[in-house]
Amino acid sequence: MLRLRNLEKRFGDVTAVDGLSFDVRKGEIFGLLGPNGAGKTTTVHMAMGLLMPDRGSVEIEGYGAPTTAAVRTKVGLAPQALAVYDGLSGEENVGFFASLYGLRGRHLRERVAWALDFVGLADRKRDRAGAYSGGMKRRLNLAAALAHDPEMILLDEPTVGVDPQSRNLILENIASLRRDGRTIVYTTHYMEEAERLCDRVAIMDHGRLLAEDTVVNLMAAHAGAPVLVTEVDGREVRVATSDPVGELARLARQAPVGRFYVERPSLEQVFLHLTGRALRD
Amino acid sequence: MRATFCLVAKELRLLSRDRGAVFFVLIWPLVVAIFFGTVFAGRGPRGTIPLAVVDEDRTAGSAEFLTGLAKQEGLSLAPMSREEAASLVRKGRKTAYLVLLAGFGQARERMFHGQPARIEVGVDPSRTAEMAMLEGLLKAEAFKGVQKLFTDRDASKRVLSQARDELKGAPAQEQKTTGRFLEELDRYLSEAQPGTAGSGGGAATGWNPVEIEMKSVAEQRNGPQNAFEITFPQGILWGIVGCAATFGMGLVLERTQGTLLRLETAPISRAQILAGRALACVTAILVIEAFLTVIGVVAFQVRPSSVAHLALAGVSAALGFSGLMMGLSVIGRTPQSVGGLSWALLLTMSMLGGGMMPLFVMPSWMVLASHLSPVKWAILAFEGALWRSFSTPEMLLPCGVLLGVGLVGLALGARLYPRP
Repeated sequence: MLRLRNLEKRFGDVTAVDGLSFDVRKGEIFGLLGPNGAGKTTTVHMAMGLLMPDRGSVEIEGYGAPTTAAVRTKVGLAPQALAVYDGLSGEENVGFFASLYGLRGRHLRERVAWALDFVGLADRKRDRAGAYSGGMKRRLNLAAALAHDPEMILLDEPTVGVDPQSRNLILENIASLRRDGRTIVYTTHYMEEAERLCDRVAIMDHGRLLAEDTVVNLMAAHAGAPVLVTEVDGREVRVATSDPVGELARLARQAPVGRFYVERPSLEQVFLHLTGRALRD
Repeated sequence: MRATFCLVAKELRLLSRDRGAVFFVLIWPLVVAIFFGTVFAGRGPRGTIPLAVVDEDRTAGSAEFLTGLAKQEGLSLAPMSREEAASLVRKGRKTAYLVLLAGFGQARERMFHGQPARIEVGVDPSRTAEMAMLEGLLKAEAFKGVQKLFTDRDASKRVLSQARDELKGAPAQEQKTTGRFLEELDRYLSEAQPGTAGSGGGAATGWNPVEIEMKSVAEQRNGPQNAFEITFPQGILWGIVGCAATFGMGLVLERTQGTLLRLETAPISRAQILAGRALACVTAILVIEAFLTVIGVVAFQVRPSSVAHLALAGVSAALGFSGLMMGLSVIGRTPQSVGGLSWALLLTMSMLGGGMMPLFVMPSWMVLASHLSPVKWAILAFEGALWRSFSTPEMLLPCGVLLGVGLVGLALGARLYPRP
């Protein structure tokens, strides 16, 4: 659905994106992970046609580069900032943005109603966005990206600063969009969200792609073996092993074993393994 | 085109819901126009100079002088003792005090010789600007006495006779020269017939220094019919300036809060986004102009000399300041910096351009500097349509300048407007 090839973007002396290539398949949720300053937002902006790459190409399959009006109608963006007008109601916000995509009349009203209902704001649609909570604004931000019925949706940190209830609803909404056949590019800092949602994940740092695969394969390749944690003779014993059951049986034969559990490798371990533990500004 | 109208509608809806902005672009200009129009028109309490008066002469002449002075517009007299008068002036409760010194009445009856009538004036040093006016009013009242003597032949002959009697005690040379003059004057008064050239009518005969003929010029449009025709253009300009600043800041807010990013991802061009905002600003300014003009016409006797010229002035000002707004929106990166700089620039333009005080009260260098301010040209265009009775070619200069400013601002804003 989305094809990025050898993308390069520089801002003065800073290389924000450096030879980035990946494909996003139709109907999948593709996670784009990376620490602050990794180049995720720059990549999303180039994918939307907001920034022109210094080198390389962006193509939306079957439509071409996302710089023409025709291609842009196929794409929706929920930016990281809460890009809604506080002075307008939820309904007016979504209606305004949808009208820019050519929707009008009954179709416009139906799509606005659907989008607001989808994000759980139907009963507050006439309230001004300025009166919404942070979570409600995030959901409105998402609704404004969906009302024109795009085939591909780019979600830039869509759950930043929201309460667990709103986050859960947003994640369920996104999963629902995949079931409807939408293609989603999802950038986030929250590894558990990526694990829960994404079919495939790309991890980037310093503008470069470090790894790209399914979550399971990435964990197998970069997170190391699961860790068996047991209590033997009152002491905690941690053993990294690809066969926790066999290892537990082996330990039990040697001495009485108390409580035990297995620590699964996580995407966060993959992330830290690939990007390092140094703090980023 | 439809997308542009959606943008315009959104901008106007946002503006209408911002109570602070509505106050500053609609209500405040109206308050300015009405308040200053009322002050200049004299509909409110007129400014008077409060005077304490002390009559130490206590003669018919001094009483007559004070009665005449009390009739002068712009003075408010309160008789009291010298000590009380000095105290009130020192405390700032009276602007000045007048003391008609002993001998005032007698000296008023005297002409051509001796000491003149003397008035002592005690002044509040902080009110010196009003002293010139007071001095003028005092002299005017004093000359009424002189005029009376010259226009009343009997009174003139009486004063003349008194002067000739008193001249007997004067030095020989003065007796000779002044006596010859008084003798000739006496002969003239005896021989002159009532109704000679320059004489006043009725019982008063003799020479009158000036005859003033009062004529109504209400139907002529050589100047504003009332003060509101001056203050309403100024009020309109306040509304326009407020509108330009509000929309300029809104454009930066759009950028900083991320909505511009969303607009730029929509299938509309950048030109449409900018045009939408500029058109919204133009529309808002036209609404403000129409609102204030209708109120001025309906309630304050503002009468345009040409409706077509007024429309031309309104459209030119709207386009000019909308373009200026686009230019102002790129002078800073944050809403705070753009807001501060916009207001600073626009207030300076208003100050220079006659938005705060009429140009005719400014020193000449400021009048010269005002050419740089679009506010001056906008006010000139509005005044040209209201009471200056500009012809169409005369309207072209201010309107052309405004359109030029608008084009430059629009080009600058579009060129320098940063991407999200």
